Amino acid sequence: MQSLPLLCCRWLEASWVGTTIRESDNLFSVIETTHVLGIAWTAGLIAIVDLRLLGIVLTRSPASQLVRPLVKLTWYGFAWMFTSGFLLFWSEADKLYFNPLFRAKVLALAVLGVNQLVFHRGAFQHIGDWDLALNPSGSVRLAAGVSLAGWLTVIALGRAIAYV
Amino acid sequence: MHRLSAALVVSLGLLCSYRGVAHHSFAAEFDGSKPVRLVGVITRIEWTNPHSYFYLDVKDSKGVVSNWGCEAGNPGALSRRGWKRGDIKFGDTLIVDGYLAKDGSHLIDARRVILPDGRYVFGGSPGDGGPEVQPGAGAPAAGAAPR
Amino acid sequence: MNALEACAWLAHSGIGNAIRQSTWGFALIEMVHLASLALLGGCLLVAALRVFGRILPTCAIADVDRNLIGLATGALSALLTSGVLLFADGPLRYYANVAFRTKLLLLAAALAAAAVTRRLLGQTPPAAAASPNLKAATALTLALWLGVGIAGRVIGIL
Repeated sequence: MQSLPLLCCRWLEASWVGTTIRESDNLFSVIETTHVLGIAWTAGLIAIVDLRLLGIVLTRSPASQLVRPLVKLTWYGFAWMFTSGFLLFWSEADKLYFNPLFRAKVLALAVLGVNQLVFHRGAFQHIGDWDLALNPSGSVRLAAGVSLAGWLTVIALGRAIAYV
Repeated sequence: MHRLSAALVVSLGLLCSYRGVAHHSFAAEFDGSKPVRLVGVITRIEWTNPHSYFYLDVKDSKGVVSNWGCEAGNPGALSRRGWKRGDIKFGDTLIVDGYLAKDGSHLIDARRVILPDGRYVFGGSPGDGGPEVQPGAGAPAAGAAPR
Repeated sequence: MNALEACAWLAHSGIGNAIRQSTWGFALIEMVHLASLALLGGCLLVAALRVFGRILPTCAIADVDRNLIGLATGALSALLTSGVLLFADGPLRYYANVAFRTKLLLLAAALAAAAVTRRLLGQTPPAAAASPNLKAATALTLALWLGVGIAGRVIGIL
């Protein structure tokens, strides 16, 4: 008896959308290119924020002047990364289901999501307290460190998927 | 212009006895020192991104038939080299020069394909890399087991 | 020694052979290239967002350049180094690849545009907004870097 996730992946891959993307002359390449270059918008901007929170760059600016405006922007970026990533996944869902590096990437993204949530519900709520601090509290720096390491890991795993 | 650049790459490759690798994972998957020629009947075609695959029933010198996979470039790349989706179908005979998979499986990285109408096409692309194999040069007979 | 001969030399050099024969070495170099791309992109976007008045309102425009140039230079160095190593995997086939040549041209243009933009950033008075010239230079620089990225992907798609 095949598992439900596997059955869903099989159905996705065989569907019209999945097949069209998978057998396309250029569509797959376009989606993949936007996904790869999108890491500058998503991981790149988030990395700068993380480095600010770790007291490494832009230290003379209040952190909130960087973090607040970028929340929405990085959300849009992530929305596109998720959409393009899902379309790529859709086109070969069956094969990726069995790929351990793909699974690891999804797991890493989940960890990043939880980390982001914890930060936003927690320390971010009273950012005024540590806005100017060069060395914000441990929880802020932990969140930033996890985020930085996490996004580098996601990038590496994303590349590694093709090698397995 | 296209054939010219393809010819350029072939001559440069032969000039330097160059064993290049596909810039994504040729080295990870295929052995540049194990060229092979397969002659077989198409049993399955996957005209897909990021790589196309086609499978051949290959008969060896003893008459034993085994099924081999051939990995080629993406549909867009192949189209730009004049190899369209409908150019091959089940039951056609293909001659494929390529390199064996490192893990010993029945898979080759198709470098050059001779289509049923006699045309030569590159399985990969000038940007994807891999050696350019002369027909028959250094290649064991079709279906021969890897050394 | 012309460019073609240099490519052939690199193809047979120790480093060229080592990269070509490694299974995961090439993948690792690609990962460094991608991570550096993200970091450089982040720097460029933060600078551009400040120029267009979207972030860091109390930070002088000239200071943004000063603050990020270290990180940007580090990321760019990593990109160039990993790029040369990727090139060493197959100099002749990249030499023949139209997308690769286009990428190099766009890279030269992007670096030139970045230099102009940096000069204009440095000339902006402390509390002032960005001049129209600075905005144009920033947009052009971003567009050229985007072109470098796209050309890089097309290398593998052709």
